[in-house]
Amino acid sequence: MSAILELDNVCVRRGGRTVLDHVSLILDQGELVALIGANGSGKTTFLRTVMGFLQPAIGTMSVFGQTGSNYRQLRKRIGYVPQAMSIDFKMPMTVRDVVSMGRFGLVGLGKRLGDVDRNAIEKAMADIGIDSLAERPIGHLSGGELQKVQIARALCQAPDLMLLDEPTSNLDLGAQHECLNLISRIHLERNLTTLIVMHDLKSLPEKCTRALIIDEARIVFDGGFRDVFTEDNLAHVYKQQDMAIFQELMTEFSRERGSA
Amino acid sequence: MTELWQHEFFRNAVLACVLGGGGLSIIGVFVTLMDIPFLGISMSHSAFLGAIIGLLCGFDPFIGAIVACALSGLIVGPLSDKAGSSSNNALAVIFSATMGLAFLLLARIPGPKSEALNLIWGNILTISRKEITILAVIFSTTVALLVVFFKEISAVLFNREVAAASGIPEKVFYYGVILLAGLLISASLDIVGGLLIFALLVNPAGAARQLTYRLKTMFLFSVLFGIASCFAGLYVSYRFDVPAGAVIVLCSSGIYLIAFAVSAKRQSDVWKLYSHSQKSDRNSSHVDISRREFFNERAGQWLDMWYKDQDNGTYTRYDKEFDRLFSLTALRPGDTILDVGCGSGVMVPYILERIGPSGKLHEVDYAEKMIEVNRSLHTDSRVTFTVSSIDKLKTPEAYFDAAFCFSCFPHFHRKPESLAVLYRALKPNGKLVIAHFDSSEKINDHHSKHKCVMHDHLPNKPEMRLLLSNAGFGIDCFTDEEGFYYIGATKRQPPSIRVKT
Repeated sequence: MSAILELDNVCVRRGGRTVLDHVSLILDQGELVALIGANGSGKTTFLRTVMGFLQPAIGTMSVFGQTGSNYRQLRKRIGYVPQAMSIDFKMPMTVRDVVSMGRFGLVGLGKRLGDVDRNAIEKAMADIGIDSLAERPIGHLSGGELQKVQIARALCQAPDLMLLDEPTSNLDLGAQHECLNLISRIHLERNLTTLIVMHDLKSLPEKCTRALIIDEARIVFDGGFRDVFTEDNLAHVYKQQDMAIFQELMTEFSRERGSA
Repeated sequence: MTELWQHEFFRNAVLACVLGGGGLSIIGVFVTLMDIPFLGISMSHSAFLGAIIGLLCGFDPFIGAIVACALSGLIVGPLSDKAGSSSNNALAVIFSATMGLAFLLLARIPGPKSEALNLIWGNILTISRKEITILAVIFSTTVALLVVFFKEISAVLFNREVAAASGIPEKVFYYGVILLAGLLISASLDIVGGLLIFALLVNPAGAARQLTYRLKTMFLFSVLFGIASCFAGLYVSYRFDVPAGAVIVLCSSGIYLIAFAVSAKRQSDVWKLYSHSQKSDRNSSHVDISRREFFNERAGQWLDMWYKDQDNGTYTRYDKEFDRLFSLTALRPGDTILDVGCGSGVMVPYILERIGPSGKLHEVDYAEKMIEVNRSLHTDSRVTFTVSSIDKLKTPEAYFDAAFCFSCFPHFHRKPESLAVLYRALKPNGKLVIAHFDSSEKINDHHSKHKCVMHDHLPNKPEMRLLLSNAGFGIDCFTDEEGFYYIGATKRQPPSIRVKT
């Protein structure tokens, strides 16, 4: 197995504040990893660093075995699904327009989309199950459908690494479930290395093999999925002093995971 | 107006309309979608400062204006990125700084300052050939870049991070777009002046946005509206001897208002139904035949399939529901009834029972096999049969006391037209009944499982209300619950909005 992503003692500073603090991590080909943390713990910062939007002050990071000298080229191999709320869905664009953007970087500056690109776009939409929405204005979609559009856009890029930032926030329970199943399915079918950022332990995808917990800019837990549910970890994620809540959660988990 | 063409000032003004009006409207789309309307004001004041510096230092104020705008345009993007603030904020800072500097320097210019102030007021009739040439160069550069890099620009307009994620050098494009905007604004200041240029940036693009869900169309409409505003302004100012700039601005505002009023987006419910019906109309031969075949193939077994009571072998499975339906719609002996989408006639016994010996029942379906089966089952002389689709049905006007659409409304693929036919057929205060013995959710779910009727959906409640009231019906009762969907409506006075048939 080769490392897709490798961070070695990475620190990121913004405005005099350390937003990633000595983070070391190796992500292997084909892993489905959940990165969990409370709001403001550094989850999105972590993703933005991997995307090269933020530069490490100390430490080294390599993606696909290359250090980021020409990051724009590396980015084309990463499928990135930012938080839905950061996007203005009132743009006069259709679902197909947005999905197509996944190919823009690959096609090259000022060049038109070719048949290969168009095939990839249609295939990604069919794969995600939004081909019937292709001509729909993006303002006319539900939250779950918007998230699928985003995933299809990242997917038609034919990425080697998929990063998803809280894909299930703002979705109802049914849509959350559907979205996570979709991500698991893509991961399985393509053996696509996937890193999914969540703020809630309860809605982790079932196929997840490994979990990371981030708290106050540091990774405080990195381990197998079954070992995540300790009181310490829950305290990191939920920032709650009231242990009664955790007891409830933990019995729930042991019941669920135990039977699985 | 043709004699004016001999004058150079007029030819220049016409060119300025096309280049400036068109160019500003392109920039307007950027400004609208990037949500930086402040750009216009900020750039025009940078231009003002540049012009004053030009006058003070003894070079062409027009060139000074363009250089100042280019510099401001270059600063905005990086300034907002580095400061971590919005572009509007950076623009406001630049606006105030240039304004302060401009007033400081203005005091140092001796004598009349009309040349600088011209930029603030503008006059399309005094544009010189040199200004037109520069405007033409900037305009064609903008159009060329937009055409070549349309996909990159559209991605950056959509979301900078998404653009960057797909590997586009988004900063280059983002900063570039603002720079181009600055250049075009400064070069077109003479058309309406710095104070009013805002209107040409905001109105045409805003109007275009009201009318389309496509970016390319938005650009095209915006340019058309911009140029049209300028021409209209030029003409009115010539005809009535009023300032051109003001009229141009008012025309663009007028276009915005009209677009707002007629916007399909606002009337999306009606519009969706319309466009859907028109679309299916275009393929109607195909769609209709396959759908009609669907029902024809099943005509023989239809009643057995859906309405047979398994215990006693009669078609009385829904006795209770029919009783409820007719308790809501009282029929009187002697009534003349229209039953559209009648199929093989499940309703016939129930209706005949209620309309007495002098009543009449008219059965209509577009699947001829259904009518054939229906005719063979119901030989009562009170019943007549017609094979026709509902939207093309010919009936006497104001003839029926009640019309039933039982378990068929989703299949009307020209719903407004069909309702218009029913409206015409009913007597004043005649009753229209749309009913199913299932909730709308179940029906839509059921249809979606069969390929050729999968798009035959029952519109949702607001859409339904809109459809009926547009067709001239008043709704008396609307029930949508598990096992029973019922709309009872009454034909009102001629509707205010008539659907064309």
